[in-house]
Amino acid sequence: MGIDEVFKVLNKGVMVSLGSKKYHDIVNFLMIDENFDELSQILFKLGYRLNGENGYFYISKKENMSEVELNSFLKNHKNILVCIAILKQLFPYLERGTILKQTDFIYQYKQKSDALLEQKFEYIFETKDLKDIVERFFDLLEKSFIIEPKESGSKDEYMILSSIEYYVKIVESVV
Amino acid sequence: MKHSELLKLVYKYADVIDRAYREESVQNVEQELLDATLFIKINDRYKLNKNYLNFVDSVLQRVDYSIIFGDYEKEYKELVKLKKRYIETHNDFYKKSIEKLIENLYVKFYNRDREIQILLVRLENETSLEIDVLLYNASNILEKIYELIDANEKVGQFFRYDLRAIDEKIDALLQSISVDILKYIQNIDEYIHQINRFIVQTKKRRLQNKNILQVANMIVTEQCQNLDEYLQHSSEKLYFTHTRSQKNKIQIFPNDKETQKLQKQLKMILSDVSVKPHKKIGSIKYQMQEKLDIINVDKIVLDLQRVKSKDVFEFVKEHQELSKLDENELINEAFKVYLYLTTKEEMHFLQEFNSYNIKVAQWV
Repeated sequence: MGIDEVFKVLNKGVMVSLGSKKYHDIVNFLMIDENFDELSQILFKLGYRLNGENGYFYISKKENMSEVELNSFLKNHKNILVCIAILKQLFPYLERGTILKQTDFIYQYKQKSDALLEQKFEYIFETKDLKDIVERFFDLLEKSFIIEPKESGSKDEYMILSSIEYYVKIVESVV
Repeated sequence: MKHSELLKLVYKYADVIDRAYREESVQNVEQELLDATLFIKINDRYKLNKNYLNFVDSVLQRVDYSIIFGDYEKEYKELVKLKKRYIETHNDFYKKSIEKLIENLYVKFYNRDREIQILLVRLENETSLEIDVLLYNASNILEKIYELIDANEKVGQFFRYDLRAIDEKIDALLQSISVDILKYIQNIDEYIHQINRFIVQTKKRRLQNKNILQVANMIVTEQCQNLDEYLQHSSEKLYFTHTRSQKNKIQIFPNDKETQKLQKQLKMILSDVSVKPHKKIGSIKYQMQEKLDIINVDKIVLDLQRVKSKDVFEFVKEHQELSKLDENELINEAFKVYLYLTTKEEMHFLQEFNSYNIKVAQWV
């Protein structure tokens, strides 16, 4: 694992978390002071910041975003915040490291579904039909690096990654 | 019925007893189970005798939140009475009764300590209850444990002083259990501390969940101006999402041209810098907040408020708090403090960069 390989991954907009199996090598690389500082300096010169805190790493843009970028940035953040609220509504004890099962998710949804929950799903997916949303919901969380399959290829069990704390921190800053 | 016969009976009806334990009651049971009082008929259903359930729960380490600890008052009063009788008469009957009661109390202490430990583990791992219900249970257990403090002390003192020197055998018995009893009494403080910590953490979790739901509701009802402002204001240090929208065919970041530019620059930088391979494992990177612990950032903020620096990075670098750092560490640490300060509202960024190629920020 070298700095160029780490750069290639982060450059694609990946948020890597401690405990992630997929990005285990990258996290281990960034956990070493010298590596983090070196990449941080390079990215800074290229107009980006390398951020590492609470067990997750990501890059941010140093300069102002264009309008298109900003709209996408806001929309993505809001969608994920709503997703996390759905998770918390169904699993109040969910936190980093929790194993989340799609089957449990469906069960809890059927048990606890209410108007507020449906409203949240409609906001993200423009539908509240359970069979349409479950797979898309898990896909979105996986693509946003909030969850990853517990075992490679697993379709039911997912692990909640440290990156969930990033969004919790945003909530704490605005409420 | 002999004990061995009871064991055979339990073995013979193991299936129905197990079903009744798991499902709380069964429709039918054999008459001999009723005769042995293992089952009791309640409201047309047959339930296992509470005494049997208590024994099984204790062995299997299952403790219900509704457990009642009670005190040792009855045993204590009986012991006081027996002690008086024994001193007056020296009758062995009273001595044996005292020994039996001491043993009973010891078992009560032992079971209670174990039950509290099991309850704490259960609380910590609970995920099926509503948070409010869990908090109610935790507070309830805390209250019950508080009630034990006086009862424990009273019996502990009675064992240590009032029952001593009556009889050698009693003394030997008290001596053999004294260390354990003391340990059980002292454990109570730790349990109280543990439950209090658990209650605080759970309340924090409840508040956090409430806030997350509140923000989500603001988003879906499109009343999230605060969030928009925060995200925009802090965009420079927030996760730069690069998702491409398939629907609108918009490439957010990076487009191919920009990627090529970055890769070219990266190549140049990497070829200029001789990167030494890491032969040994470096020190583990601590979180920014932990590093800042050795530097009193609050003091720097206070001084910034007083001085209103025109270049915050320069100000931080020269600050007395960083004076102990050596040359190599100084810039890095100053930069980290600077990064930390970027979250503050007083930071006003200018377009220009200082001699360290860092964006100039004024403290306003």
